[in-house]
Formats: sequence, structure tokens, C-alpha cells
Amino acid sequence: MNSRSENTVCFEAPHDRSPGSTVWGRLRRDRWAMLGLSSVFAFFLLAVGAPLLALDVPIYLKIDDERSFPLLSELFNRLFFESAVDIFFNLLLVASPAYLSIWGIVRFFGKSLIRSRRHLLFSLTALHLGLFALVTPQHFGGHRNPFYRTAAVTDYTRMIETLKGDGHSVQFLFPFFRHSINLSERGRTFRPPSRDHLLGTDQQGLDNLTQIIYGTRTSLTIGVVAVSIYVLIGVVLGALAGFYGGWVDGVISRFIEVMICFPTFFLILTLAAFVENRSIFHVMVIIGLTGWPQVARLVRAEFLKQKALEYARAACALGLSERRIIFRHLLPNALAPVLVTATFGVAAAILIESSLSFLGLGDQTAPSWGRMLNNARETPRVWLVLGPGFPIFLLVCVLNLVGEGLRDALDPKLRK
Amino acid sequence: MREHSPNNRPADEPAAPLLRVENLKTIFHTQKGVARAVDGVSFHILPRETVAIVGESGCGKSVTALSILRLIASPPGLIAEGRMLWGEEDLRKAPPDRMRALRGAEIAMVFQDPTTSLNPVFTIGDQIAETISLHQGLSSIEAREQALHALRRVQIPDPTTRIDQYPHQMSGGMRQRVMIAMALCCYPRLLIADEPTTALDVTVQAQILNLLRQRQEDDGTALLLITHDLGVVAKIAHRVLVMYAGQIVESATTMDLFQRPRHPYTAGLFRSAPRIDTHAPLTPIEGMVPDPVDYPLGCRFHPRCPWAIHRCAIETPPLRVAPNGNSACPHLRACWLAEAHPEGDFSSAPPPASPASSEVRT
Repeated sequence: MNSRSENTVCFEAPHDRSPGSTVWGRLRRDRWAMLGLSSVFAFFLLAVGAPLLALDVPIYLKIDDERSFPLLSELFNRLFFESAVDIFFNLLLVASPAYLSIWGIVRFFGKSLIRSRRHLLFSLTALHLGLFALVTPQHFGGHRNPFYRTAAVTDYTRMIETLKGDGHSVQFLFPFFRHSINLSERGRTFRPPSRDHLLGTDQQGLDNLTQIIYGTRTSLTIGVVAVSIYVLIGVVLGALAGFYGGWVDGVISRFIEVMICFPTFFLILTLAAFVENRSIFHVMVIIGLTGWPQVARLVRAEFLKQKALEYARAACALGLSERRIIFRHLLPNALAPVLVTATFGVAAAILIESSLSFLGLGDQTAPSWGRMLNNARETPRVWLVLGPGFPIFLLVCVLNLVGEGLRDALDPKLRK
Repeated sequence: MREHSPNNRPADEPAAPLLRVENLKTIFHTQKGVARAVDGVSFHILPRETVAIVGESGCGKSVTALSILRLIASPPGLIAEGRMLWGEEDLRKAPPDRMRALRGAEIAMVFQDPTTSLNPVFTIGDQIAETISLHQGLSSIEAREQALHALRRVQIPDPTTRIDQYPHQMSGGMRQRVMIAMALCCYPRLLIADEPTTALDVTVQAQILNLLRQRQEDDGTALLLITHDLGVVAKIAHRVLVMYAGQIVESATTMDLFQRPRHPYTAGLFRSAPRIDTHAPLTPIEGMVPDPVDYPLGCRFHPRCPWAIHRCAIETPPLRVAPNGNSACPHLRACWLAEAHPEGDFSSAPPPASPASSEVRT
């Protein structure tokens, strides 16, 4: 027991005692939370690295003496990847070596440039979102996009066989699972799990495992984006209500109460029924528009508490503007409960999306776990039900572990 | 010499006051009714001067200070009447932008509780630098340099390390120093200190008071000190305003007031403070502070005053100059009895229930 307490002392970084690092220190000691966090990170890596894991396009191809990397251009091929979600993750995959090296260079050589790790993370995120915003509209716009590639070859397997038959020397390296994400293979429907198809094939002849891997992208994006939308709305409304009080608080609080009266899932169902040609973005927005009251209530309560503390008045006495006091001084102090709610919210949003897709009210084209379950319901096969069902269970589970851990780390008094 | 005789006025005493408060009335709308927290307070502060406001909890001294900076939360509170002249400018009518520019730059404030008056999520350097770059428009590197300088000026040991620390890594006294550094970082002309030493232990109190006095002498800042600690007043104030129930009941130089209080309330305050030189038992002032929603008629102190006469319950005594006082700084008090008996001494023990006072009580 004694040696253990010494260990815990060692975990506290003596120099950096920022609130963030204190929380991180506590979180690191929570094994379940770390298990959850590393699993979520693994899901994230799976989402980013999906094309390296499962695609029927070679990563490296050498025909006679001509070397090429077809996967690189394939990542921005409209026929393969038409949704913005895929573009985002493909861009992240391509740019990640650059980001990692920027991170490394700045951390080791330019500590004076950017003082905190957090700032660096923010800048890189901003850079990525900027790139994404630059690429996406052009991608949908068509040919002027430098990243845009027409599919020169649609079936590399057949091409390679033909070339071999013609007597060319061909060297190639395919992703781990050599299956297409959208080209159905006739005659291969409903194959049970085998060496070729680890989790079998579905009614269209698509490889089940490949679909699940790409479904990670959809689920993670839905969770994070939907929650970001409602956290943003909730924080702004809650902050205004809590800080200003009076009629502002009255109006916003009544609005919150009205929203909370509706059963959220049925509200989402109703809204979803109104939208034609639902894409996953519609689903995100719908979840985002219905989830905010909970966050707003938390933030409002936290603001009521924080604004009564003397530092808020001191900030005012130093001549800071109200906007600055609200968003720079009070908000960081009010965010702890929001962080916990948001983590649970990501899990909830993933479940909601799955439920919507299962009911046929989700995006009918995106590779989503819920949609796969819906398809499996029509033509039940064990591998088609458990295949997408298990990842939903696992991701929601590990997200809840992270949430629990965060809650304990942010407020150790609650632990009992 | 001023170290030991704080009531010596600054030598270069200019005529124009830095701040002149006239008939200030601040009210709060409560469920019980309108609470008149500050009810017709007038005073002035000269440049480089230290003025103390003394009184029990709830007498309106903090509200007076907050009113000057217009920090009264506006739905329940309201600065209903009066003028607060900052030079030629009435702070009561100043637009919000102008107030923001004044706060922190010209008038700064130090609060009572250093444990909550710093933002826990920022390093102290960031917090000081934020104020500096806001008011002086400096770049972040220059502001950090200035923040370091501000920390040095309040004698924080090892400022280069401390500047990157968070408030929770510091002791209460150290945090109060940081608060003072923040308040003084833009060299304000008036510093309002609201019970700056109440939450600190005695040795640290003395350090903070010395620091305040030293900064004040070096920077030429005027100091408005809100306190209920007469020891603190004796140590650094030039002039004292005694407040009771939202009004000023006595105003004099520290020396005059301590030598001879001319208001029964002030005398009562002295008698309830422990002293080393006499062994007289402590005699607290009987009764409770009156409810600001429902002040008693006449002199607001009369229900608790052992000397009260019939007139005290009917007419409100005006704040008038006491005779035989210092002509440069007149001794003012609001008391009928003191006017009737200018030589009356309230510093002795209260009389046995006199006919007059019993008449009032019944």
C-alpha cells in the first residue's frame, strides 16, 4: 500500500499543475478509463486507416519498370468516396505524416513558438479543417479539383491478371482485405464467414468486414459532429441565460423546459420523417438540434455558480468586456460537466443514428452499422446481425467507460 | 516618519479631489421591499490620500465601493441617486464603454477573498498580462514583461517561476499579492481595497498592509480602504468615514477619531475592540444592525444607543461639523446629543439607563 501511494505521488507532474494536466493525471490512474480511451483511439485509427486495411486498390503497383501508388489517387476518387466523411478521413490519412512531423518538429525544436500542447493541437485541427473546406466543395464541383481523379481503372485485380497474361512483370501490394466497398460481386451473396470473407458477405455480395470497417467512419463522425452541434448551441444559450439572468434567463429557461418535455427520440423520428433524401449530415443536424437542452441546463447552472465567485467580479473590476468574461473566464470553469455529458452524448448519438438507420430513417447510402442491421433484419444471417451489432455495443461501451472516468477525474469528490 | 504617523496629510495636497461622491443612494429590490443599502453618502478622496470606510457587516461600505465602479448587478440593484464625480465626469452616467476603460486602468479594486478572486484555470501571468494588454494595447510578449514587473513590484519571491503558476499553487497571502499586482499593473489613480486583509492571518495582514502603503507612496495612488478592523485603519488611513445603516455617521482624520470619537456608534466600535493598554472589559454594542428595508425613524442608531434622547427617535440628525476640530479637515458627526453637549464624552462606559433613553425604548 505504501509503495503504491508513493507511485501516485510520482504521477503528479511537479511543474505543470494546470487544471488540465491535473485531470489527465487522475484519468491516467483510472485503468478502465484508459482502456476505454485507448479503445476509442483504436476505433479512430481504424476509421482513418480504413483504406489501408480494406480496399481492392493496390497501395503499390509496379508494372515492368513503372512504379505507381494507385491508392493515393483512389482516395479522392468520386466513385469510391463520395461522402464528405470519407474525404475528411482520407485527407487525414494522407496528411497525417505531415501533421505528425509538424508536431514532432514543434515539440522538440520550437518550444518557444507554441507554448502549450493544446495550442498545437488546435492549430493542427484548424489546419486540417481548412484543408477539408478547401477540398470538399471542389470535390463535389468536379474536374478543377487537383485531388480529383477519375477512376482510370475500376478493377485492378482483373487488370493485373490481364497484364500478367500479356507477359508483363507485375509487382503489387494490396490492402490487408482485398475487397471493394461498393462493387457488388454477383454470385457471392450471403456467403458465411470463410478465409476470404472473415465475416461473410451480405445480400449484395459485399464483404461484411469491409463494410463494418468503413462504418466506423460514419459512426464516429455522427457522434462527434452531432454532439459538437448541440454542445455549441447549449453552451451559448446556457451561458447567456446563466450570466445575464432576468428576462434572458426566463426566455431561455422556458425554451429549455419546452424542449425537455418532448421525448427526444420521437422528436428526432418526427423531424427525420420530414427530411427528404436524408444524408448523414441531416441526421447529425437533427440530433444536434434536439440534444442541446441538457447541455444548456448544465451550463446555466454552472454559470450561476461561477458568476457569484469573486473572480468574475474581479474580472469586471479590471475592465474586461462581458463577452470576454463569459467566454474566456467563466466558460472554461463551467465546461467540466459539459465534457462528461458530451462523452456520454457521443455514445448516445451513435446509438440514435443506429436506431434511425435501423428504422430506415437514416442515410440509405452511407455504410452505417445501423443500416447494415436494418438490412440484416430483412434477410437474417448470424454474421450479418452480430457483425455490425458488436461494434455498436463495443464503441458505446468504451465511450461510457471514458465518460465515467472523466467524471471521476473532474470531480473526485463524487467518486464515493 | 509617515510610517508611524499615517494621519500626517501628504505634503503636496492639491485642492481638487480625485473622486467626489455626492448623496449616493444605492438600492436593492428584494422580496421584502426596497433595501436602501447606501442611503445618501457623500465624501471625497484626494490624490495620494488613504480614506478608510469603517462599519459593521451590512452597513453599506462594500456597496459604496462597488457603486463607484458600477459593479452593482443591475436587476436587483440600482444606483438610484447622487453623483460620483471623477474629475469632471459623473461615473453614474458614464456610458458602459467609458466605465470599462476606467476600470482597471484608472480605478482598480482588490477583493476580500483571495481564494476565489483569481481565475483557477489561468496562470497568474496570463491574468495580469490580459489586463495590461487590454488597457495598454501591448503585444503578448511586452505584456508578459510588464506582468513580471508587476509581480516584482508586489515583492513576490521568484517571480519568473511564479508567473507561470496557477492560483492553487500559492498561499492566500501570495494570491492577495497577485491580486494587488493585477489591480496596480496599469498604475491606477485610485485603488479600492475591499477588506483586503480580512481573510489572511495576522503576520500576512501586516505584510499586505505594508505593501499597500508602499505601493501607494511609490505610485501616488489614492486608496479607499473598506474594513471593519480598526487596527488596520490606525495603521494606514489618513481619514476615516464611519458608516452605519447606509449613512456616514462620523468623518474625521484618523488621529481625531481615535483620540476622541464624537458619535456614540464610533465610541461603541472602539469599546468592542480589544486593547492592550487597559483591562476594561469588552462591551459589544447591544442589539442588531437594522434591516435595510425598514430603517428606524430618526437617528438610525437610536434603538441601540445608550445615550439616546427623545429627539433621536423623531428627527434624523444631519452630518455637521464638530466645534474645536481641525479646520483643515473638519470633524463631522451626525448626532443630536453630540450637538447638545459638544464636550460630551462617549468613550467612557455607557451611563446607567437614563430617563431619556428609557423613554425612547418604551
